[in-house]
Amino acid sequence: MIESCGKDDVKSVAPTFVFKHNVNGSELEKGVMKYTNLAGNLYEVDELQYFISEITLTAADGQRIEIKSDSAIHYIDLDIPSTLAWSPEDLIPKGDYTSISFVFGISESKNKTGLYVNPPERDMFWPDIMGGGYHYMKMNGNWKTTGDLITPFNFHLGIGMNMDGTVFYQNCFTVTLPLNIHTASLGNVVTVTMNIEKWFEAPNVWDWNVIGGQIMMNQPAMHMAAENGVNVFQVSFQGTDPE
Amino acid sequence: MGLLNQFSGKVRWAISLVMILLLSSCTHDDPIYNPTPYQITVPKFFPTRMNIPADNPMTVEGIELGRYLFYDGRMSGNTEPDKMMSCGTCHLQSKSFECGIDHPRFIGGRTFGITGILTPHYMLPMINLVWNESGYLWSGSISENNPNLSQRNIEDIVGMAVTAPHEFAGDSNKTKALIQSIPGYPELFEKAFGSRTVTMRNISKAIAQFTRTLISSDSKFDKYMRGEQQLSTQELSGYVLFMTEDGADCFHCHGGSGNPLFTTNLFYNNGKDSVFNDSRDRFSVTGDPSDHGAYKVTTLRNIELTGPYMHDGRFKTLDEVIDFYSQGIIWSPYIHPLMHHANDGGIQLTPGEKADLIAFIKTLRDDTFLTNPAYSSPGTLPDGEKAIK
Ligand code: HEC
Ligand code: HEC
Repeated sequence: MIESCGKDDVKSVAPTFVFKHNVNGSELEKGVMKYTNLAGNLYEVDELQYFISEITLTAADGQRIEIKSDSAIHYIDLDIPSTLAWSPEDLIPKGDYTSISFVFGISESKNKTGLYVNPPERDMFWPDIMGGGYHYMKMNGNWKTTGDLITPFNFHLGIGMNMDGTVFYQNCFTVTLPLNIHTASLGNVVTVTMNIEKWFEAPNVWDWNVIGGQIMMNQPAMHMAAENGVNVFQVSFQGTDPE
Repeated sequence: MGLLNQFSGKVRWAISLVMILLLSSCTHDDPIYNPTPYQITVPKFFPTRMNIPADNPMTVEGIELGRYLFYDGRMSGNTEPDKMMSCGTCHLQSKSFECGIDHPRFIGGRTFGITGILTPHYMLPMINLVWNESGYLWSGSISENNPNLSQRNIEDIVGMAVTAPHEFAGDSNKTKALIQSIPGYPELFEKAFGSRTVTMRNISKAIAQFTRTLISSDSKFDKYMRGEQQLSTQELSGYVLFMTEDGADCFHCHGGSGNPLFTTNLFYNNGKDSVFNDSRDRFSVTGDPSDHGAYKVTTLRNIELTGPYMHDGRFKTLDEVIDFYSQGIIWSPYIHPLMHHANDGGIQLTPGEKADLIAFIKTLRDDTFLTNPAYSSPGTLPDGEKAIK
């Protein structure tokens, strides 16, 4: 967290966002088959890659400040430590903030093929014939079937499509959470934590044995995942008031 | 230093600028050393970020020199015809810079060095290497993450090729001295690097510059993406299979509409075996157990010319490769989860679907690349000798 320099501008600060991933409170251990979801599926997560965008902070006086750097989109990849913290160039006025919201994925107006030509973001591309743009998320792992077979799942979210490819669905969704912090300065770090297990709980209990491991071409499943997705995040804030 | 420290930052900055100007004016004394910067034209949809080391900017003169060296058998340090070898001995333009399965010397595409020692793996093509940021060779060991400073980029692969027992089996001092003695080369080194003295570093830099110019962006599929040419019905069916999760689902690893390189350049275990003991797989680089049996996913550009397939050349034809993805997948704890048919033996394509998929993959052949005169052997070397074809 860097105080903006220049005496004339001490009213604003640069926020840092940190992204953490856990399963019901304990930090995610990749590649270890030791989690059981509500449906009773034993599973492991091997890779997790996703976008969040349009982070907006709402101040106590109702003012909304949107983070605009990097097209307002940030990519997170468990295998790339540098993506787990984001310090956008935006400066935020000091003050009391009561809530934070963001889009999980990329909203329709920006989610077009060609937005990213460089890796790693590029490798999130979603096939043009299926609506184009980018995967909102790729979570790859395995679960143990009722027949005890370790079977891959690809929990991929993006633009959905009906069976004959004539209707497309924007499955991205907005997460809004109370910041619950009243401070004179929005100082240090906003931590955004994903509880992986919540993708599989409510309102839709996720049973891979029923749904199957792959959902890119299964709009009803992606819709259920998106409904669960509004419950997977928590935010916390550590601020130190420099004054 | 004490005096310098008393100056404000700005003054100090100005002083160092003056010093830089003084330094650079020294090197520019030499009228012959005035290299022309070479700018890669980034094709439509291609990455804008390129893997060009800061200490080896591309120049027209560097590339010209690199092309000669790439095709000069004396890079091996030898002048006897049967002991000469260059990069171009194995890396043939007409085969997308592999040797091909029908090579007269490397039977079945199995390459070996001057002394007959086999290369540990089958070949990799040289296409669009400037856009690989994740590591060269099948294991990706040559990358910015390598703690060994001399194993980080294509420059370093050149030095390795000269001394590796399975390639030139040579001695860099011998190579350096021989190149130095060949009329024409000292002038080319001076034009490219400002010194007539041949060094391994400058040899490596020149060849690396040349390899970074090898760009494929003009296949039938590229033309389709640019709206210049239509694909046939069969090719389009294959494209849909390639790009869909319920189809053949190749795109997650091999790229496609959003990634024209046709590779992510990342590493996966694609389910060929159940036991893994190759000491040069991805695991050998990362030590991460999930990387057992993982290799760099190869670009599918020009793939019809680069058999045999996989790092160990186990498949002779594209048909065999597609049969493998369709019915021959083997589950192991290390198989990548994107191989989601791991428990069904594969994607189970019908014969018609297999034909469609192959028809699509063949639209990735780029004849402009395969015949581009700028990539070909220069024919005659600086001293008038014949270059490797
Ligand atoms: C004896 C045949 C042979 C010769 C000669 C040879 N190569 Fe190779 N080259 C190979 C093989 C085989 C591989 C794959 C090696 C591996 O990863 O195990 C390879 C891989 C490469 C790669 C990595 C490509 C990628 O996508 O990661 C580069 C770059 C390369 N060679 C450059 C050169 C250069 C430059 C020269 C000349 C100095 C050269 N090679 C000479 C056989 C050869
Ligand atoms: C999980 C990632 C993944 C998927 C999905 C995948 N591949 Fe591959 N593919 C690889 C890797 C990794 C290699 C190199 C493996 C090796 O050499 O051992 C490879 C190699 C190949 C090769 C041989 C390349 C060469 O130069 O030898 C072909 C051809 C190929 N794949 C085609 C396909 C097709 C067609 C599909 C879809 C049916 C597909 N692949 C799906 C990862 C993947």
